[in-house]
Amino acid sequence: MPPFPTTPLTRLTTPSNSPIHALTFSSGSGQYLLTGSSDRSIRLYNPNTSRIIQTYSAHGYEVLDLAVSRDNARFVSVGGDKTVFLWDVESGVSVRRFTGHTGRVEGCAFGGEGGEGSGESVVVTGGRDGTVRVWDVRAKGKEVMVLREAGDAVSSVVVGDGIILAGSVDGRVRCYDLAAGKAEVDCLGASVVSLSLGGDGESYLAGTLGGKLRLMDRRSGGCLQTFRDDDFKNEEYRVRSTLAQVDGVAVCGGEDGRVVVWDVLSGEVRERLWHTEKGERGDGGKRGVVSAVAWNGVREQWASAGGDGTVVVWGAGE
Amino acid sequence: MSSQKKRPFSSTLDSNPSHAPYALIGTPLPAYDPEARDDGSYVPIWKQEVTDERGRKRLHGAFTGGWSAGYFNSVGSKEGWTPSTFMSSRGKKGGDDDAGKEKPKGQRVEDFMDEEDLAERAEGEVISTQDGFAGLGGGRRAGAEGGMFTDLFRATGETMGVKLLQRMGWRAGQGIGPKVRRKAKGDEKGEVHLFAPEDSRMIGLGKKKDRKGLGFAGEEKLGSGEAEAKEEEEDSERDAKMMPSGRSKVLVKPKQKLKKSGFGMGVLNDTGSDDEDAYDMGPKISYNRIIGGDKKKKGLLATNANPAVQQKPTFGASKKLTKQTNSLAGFRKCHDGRLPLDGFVLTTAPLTLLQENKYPPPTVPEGWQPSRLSQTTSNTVTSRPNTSTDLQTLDPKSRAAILGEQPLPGKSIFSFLTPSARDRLATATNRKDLPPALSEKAPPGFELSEADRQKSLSDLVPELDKATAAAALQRLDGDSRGGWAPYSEDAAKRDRYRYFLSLRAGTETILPPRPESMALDDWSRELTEFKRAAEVFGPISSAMSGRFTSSGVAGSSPSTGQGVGGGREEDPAEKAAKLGMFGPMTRSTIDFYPTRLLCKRFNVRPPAHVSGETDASGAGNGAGGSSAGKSSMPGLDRMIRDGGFKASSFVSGGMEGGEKERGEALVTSEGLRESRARRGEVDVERNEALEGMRAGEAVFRAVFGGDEDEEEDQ
Repeated sequence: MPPFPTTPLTRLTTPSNSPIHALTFSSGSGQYLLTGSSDRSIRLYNPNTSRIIQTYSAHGYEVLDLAVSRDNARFVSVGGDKTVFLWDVESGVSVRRFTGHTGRVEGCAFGGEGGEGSGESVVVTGGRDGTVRVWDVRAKGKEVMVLREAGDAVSSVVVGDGIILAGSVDGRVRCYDLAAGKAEVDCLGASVVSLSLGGDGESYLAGTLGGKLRLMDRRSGGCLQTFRDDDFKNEEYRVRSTLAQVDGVAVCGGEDGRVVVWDVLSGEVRERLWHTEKGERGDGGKRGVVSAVAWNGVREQWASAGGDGTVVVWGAGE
Repeated sequence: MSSQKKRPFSSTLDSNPSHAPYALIGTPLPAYDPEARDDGSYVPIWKQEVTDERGRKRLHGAFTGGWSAGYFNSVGSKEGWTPSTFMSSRGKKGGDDDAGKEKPKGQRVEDFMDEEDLAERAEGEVISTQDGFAGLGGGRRAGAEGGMFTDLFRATGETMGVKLLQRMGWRAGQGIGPKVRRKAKGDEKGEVHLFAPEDSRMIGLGKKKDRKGLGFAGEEKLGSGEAEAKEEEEDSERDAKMMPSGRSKVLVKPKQKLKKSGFGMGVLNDTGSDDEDAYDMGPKISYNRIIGGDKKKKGLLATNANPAVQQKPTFGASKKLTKQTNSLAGFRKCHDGRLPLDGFVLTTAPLTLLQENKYPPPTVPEGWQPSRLSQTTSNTVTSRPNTSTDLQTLDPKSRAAILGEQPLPGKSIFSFLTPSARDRLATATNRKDLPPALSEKAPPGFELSEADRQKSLSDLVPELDKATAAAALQRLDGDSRGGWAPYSEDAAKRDRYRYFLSLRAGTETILPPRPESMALDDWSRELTEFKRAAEVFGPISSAMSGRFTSSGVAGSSPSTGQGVGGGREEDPAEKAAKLGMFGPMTRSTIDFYPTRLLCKRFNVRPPAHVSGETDASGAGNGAGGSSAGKSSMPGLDRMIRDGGFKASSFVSGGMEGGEKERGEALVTSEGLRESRARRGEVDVERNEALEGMRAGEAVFRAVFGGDEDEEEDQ
């Protein structure tokens, strides 16, 4: 098993120092880093140069989630203004604006199959209004479909191969299989705050309040592995987790400013890393929360973003 | 400036200069048009008239010139001082139409009055009807004449009825009816003539307008009393006049005497014979020769010692007559003015029905025995219970016992009633004499089985939705935590309510116990009330809980999780999740109907229950469909397509994938297109316009850095 990169390479800061809610690498090689923060703007960083390449601002409230299309031409952002923006990366302008959510939108993902040479055809978003909405990238206007099964806010959505996964605060992950016309509801017992799909599409990692991450089998609904740690705390905030190293490890930031890395197979903690520079415990407020982590499989790097407005890019030591 | 102002009128200046050809500056006035209203157009001065708003030829007020006078408001006329030709208006007097038309035009009072005068006059005017109005104003005046029709029709003019009567030969003062053959009045020896019947007086039901007691005549010495007395006298005069001649003969005698002793009859006396009463006919004017009215007259009567002289001053013979008739004890006239029938005397005492014992029935002497009583009746009387109250207390049974009848074989309903039911009936009907309740059992063969009884009881328990009952129950239990629930003040009732809810929620099966003190009706009524309460208080909480997810799900802290999640603990999936038993326990499958467009966007064949397509085409398409199973078949199809699209994206973007893959991928995508063509599908996923707009490689390189990175990655 390859070692997990634990050396902070770069520390990126936002000009406003406001908390960062969303973090994602660009598709493909993942050269770039997108952050969505409370100051209502989305920033495109080049982690190698620690420079802000582009700032995208149209949101009226905080930006809560980001997703980059496969062809890197566009990305989608959602936020507290109940609006979904589709951006053109290059020009820095929003090309689509989808409205329809009646609560703040907390999760977004690209989905569907685009034509040759183009990105995905739909954007899937989930929001506090308890709905998952599917928008057509190519058409302005109304959503393609609204999924209203969730009993509470939808905190995260993931799109797989012909499936849409939605994790909800009502403690359930709903997996909509479009081909079968069935939705499988897995009850996790606690509010789901993050979802990430395994590389094979047969399992997913769900982070729940209460400080537990579960690797669930999508076919059977069984729990493959449960990740927990005494030092890991997630009681209140929506912290994003991710699978890394070809589903070898699960990474999740905690509310006390630490990032915990688990081994998927054994379920044991491999690393406990401080997101903050000085390696000290956060003050307990939201500035100490490590709100999002993102894995770049191509470069074997990962990044963590926190409530203090900094992004740390981790890599293997020199 | 001035020229600018006048610009709007320049057109008229150009177009119509005929009447003012030399107007070089300013705007000429428009041409004179006698039809048009006065808008400042030119009028020759001799045609100008000064009139006021009433059209009167007047000039100005006192401060603006005074009265118009003469020609052009100067003194004189066009002809100078020549007066207009005198025209006599003699022939225009009277009903001549032309004159009538001209007259008000020429000279009216109004023409010489100014506004003040007119206003004054208008103030002084009182709007009133022309004459006494029927029933309203003229009653009193008409009543002076009296008589039947004047009383009946309170109009001063002749009413239609009067006109009709007059056509039939009636004249005022006469009675109605066939003519009476009799001698002329006072003419005892003359022949018999046909006379109109005597006028009978209408019963005048005068409106009582004062607040004096009934029959109060008023203070005699006051002026009003005098007036009334006068009226009275007039009435009596009339009464006398109406008396049948036959009867009045007796009474007339003193009148004769009077006449002889009268004096000062003068001219009036000359016209008729001595025998006749000059004032009996003709205008009914009562002369009072003595100033001061009747009262003084009466005083004179009292003081005069000489009975002959006593009569002298009065001419009202009939007045005397009434006095005499009044003085006769009991001699009064009926209300219609006629004397009562012979032998009858008008009662003076008012007839009242209240005095019932005035003419009591004769009392039966003590010890009187009717001699005519038959034997049978006496028997009945003796055998009968002596007081009437006994009659009422008798019921059919006792009556039958008295009569010696055989008791009926049937049973009364009371035989089956319970004593309590009978008591209720007794209180409801207020009858104490209801037969005693025997609370007998139903006859054999008709008894209710225990199950039937339970069933009939359970019919009384109203139906309630299980979920509603559960919600209401939960709410009731949640009351202890500060919420509000029904019957919180009545613990016993609340327990019954809880039992009812748990019965309907399914946790209890036995019927709710009925308290001993409660009647069946009250019990069932209370149950119905419980049902309503549950319906009111249940769904609110269930609706709310549907809307808000209780924090028991989010349940991080155990205390809140247990507290609120009481009702939600039932979810087995969550229980299982809490226990870590993931798998079939925590998984549930629901149907989901993706829209066709969504499936199209995901490049997924819509599920059978959405598309309605059969699996046949899919089986023909996919390889090894039978082994892969129904659900994996579209997946396989998808995989093929994925390969194709990956390859194409790789071609354009060059982000991932290997060189060697390209060839296969292209082949696959070729195959895919072929298969699509076979199926006759339109490739909706391709949008030439969008794809054409894609930015070139250079742009992406500029934005996302150089190629060397990719090479490194690969």
